Amino acid sequence: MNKKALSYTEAVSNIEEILHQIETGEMDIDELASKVKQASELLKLCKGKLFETEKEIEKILKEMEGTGND
Amino acid sequence: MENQPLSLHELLDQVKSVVKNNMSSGYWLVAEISELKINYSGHCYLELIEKEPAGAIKAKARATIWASVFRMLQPYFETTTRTSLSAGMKVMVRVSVEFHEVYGFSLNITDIEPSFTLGEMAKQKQEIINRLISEGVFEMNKALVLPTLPRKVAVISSGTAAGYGDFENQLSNNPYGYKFYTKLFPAVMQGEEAEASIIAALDKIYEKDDFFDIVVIIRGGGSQSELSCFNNYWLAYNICQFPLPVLTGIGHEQDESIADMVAHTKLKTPTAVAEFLIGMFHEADNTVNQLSLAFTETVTDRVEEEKARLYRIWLLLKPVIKENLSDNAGSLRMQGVRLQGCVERRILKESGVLNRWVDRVGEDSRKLINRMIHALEILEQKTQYLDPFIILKRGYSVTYYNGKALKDPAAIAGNEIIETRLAEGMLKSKTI
Repeated sequence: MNKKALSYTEAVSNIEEILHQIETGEMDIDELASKVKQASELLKLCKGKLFETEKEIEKILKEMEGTGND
Repeated sequence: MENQPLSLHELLDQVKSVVKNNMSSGYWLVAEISELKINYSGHCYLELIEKEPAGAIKAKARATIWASVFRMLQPYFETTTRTSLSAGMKVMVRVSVEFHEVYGFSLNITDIEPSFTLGEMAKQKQEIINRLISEGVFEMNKALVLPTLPRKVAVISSGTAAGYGDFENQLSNNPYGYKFYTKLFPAVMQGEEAEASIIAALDKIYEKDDFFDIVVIIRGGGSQSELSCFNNYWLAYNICQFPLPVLTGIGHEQDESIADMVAHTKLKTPTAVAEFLIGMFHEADNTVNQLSLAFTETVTDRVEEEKARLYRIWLLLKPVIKENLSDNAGSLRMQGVRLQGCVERRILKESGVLNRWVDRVGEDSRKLINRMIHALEILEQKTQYLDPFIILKRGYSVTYYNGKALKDPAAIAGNEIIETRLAEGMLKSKTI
């Protein structure tokens, strides 16, 4: 899974899926640790999208500035 | 030629008196404004036209609103219609017909009926709405799904408008610290140029529609008039079909413009648009927090559950373990390991032997069988020599005394019955 390409919405639905698996007991206890890690990374990703500056986006915006508006 | 020729002035003077004597002092007139100019001294010069239904001009006349009248008519008209007099507008005006020897024919406007224009505008607006509906585009932008997190916002506004400044401030100084990316696509937001200018800005955003999440059209700080451009058909048509959701904050206080109606979400002011976007982030933020909480709880529950299960297993096993295992679990484990090693080595060795056997059996099986058959034949011959019946046939006999084979004559006295076994039968006799 390419984390950079993952949108906020996709990340949220991935977390919900993992949560559902744990809740319904579909998930083996052996998988739990890795899934917990995965989910906490996804949560961090979501928070990042809310608060953090993304260099990639700023770069694109800067490039747009270069091409001019009029 | 009957008479002396007239001078131009004499002729036009006659026209002037005909006009003056034959026309009444005022008429209510319905016409469309095709041109409008206000000069430095405040006089308003117009061109009025009437069109054929097909669009060809049927009649045309110059008209004037003198500054002294215009100063009163203009605010009156704008208060009622919330728009200023402009080209393309249909008006009902009271006129007097003037003819001047130098300036020619013109209409002098002395009064205006704003409610007529209002009615015309409403009618025109309704026609545009109906057209957009019949073309099936009216609801198209509304049908788009609003992104959960509108981070990359394309803004159409005048860069110098107060409303744009408010919008930017509101977003960048939001109390939660959310990060928005905005990019201004400057456009003229009022008057005749607005339509083309806003459409051009939309076209520019369209080129980057996979980058942006949302489009915001904002205007604020200007006058409430000059907003008729937002009722324009082509602008509405472009908004309808735009691939990204369009949010408007145009600032109509009373009736909605068509741009507002077809936009995905209509908000009153630029500030309201900013609040709306921040609200969406806030909602997303809450979702993440709740997920995070739910996640912690669920994982804790799951781990506790597993711990409890292990404890139950331990309780069940404890007595069994105590009974069956020596306290020296370590030595047991070592023995176990050693045993496993032994078994493994042994299995390896035995399987080697077994393999060799299998090979040899394969090679020698026929030889072995032959040898066994030969041995059996010898055995059969030997058996034949030893068979007592064959020995009897050769003339040997066996003598029984008291049911036992007699081997020593000294073992019996005289006058006893003995039995002799011959090849062909038994013979009883008496000793002497």
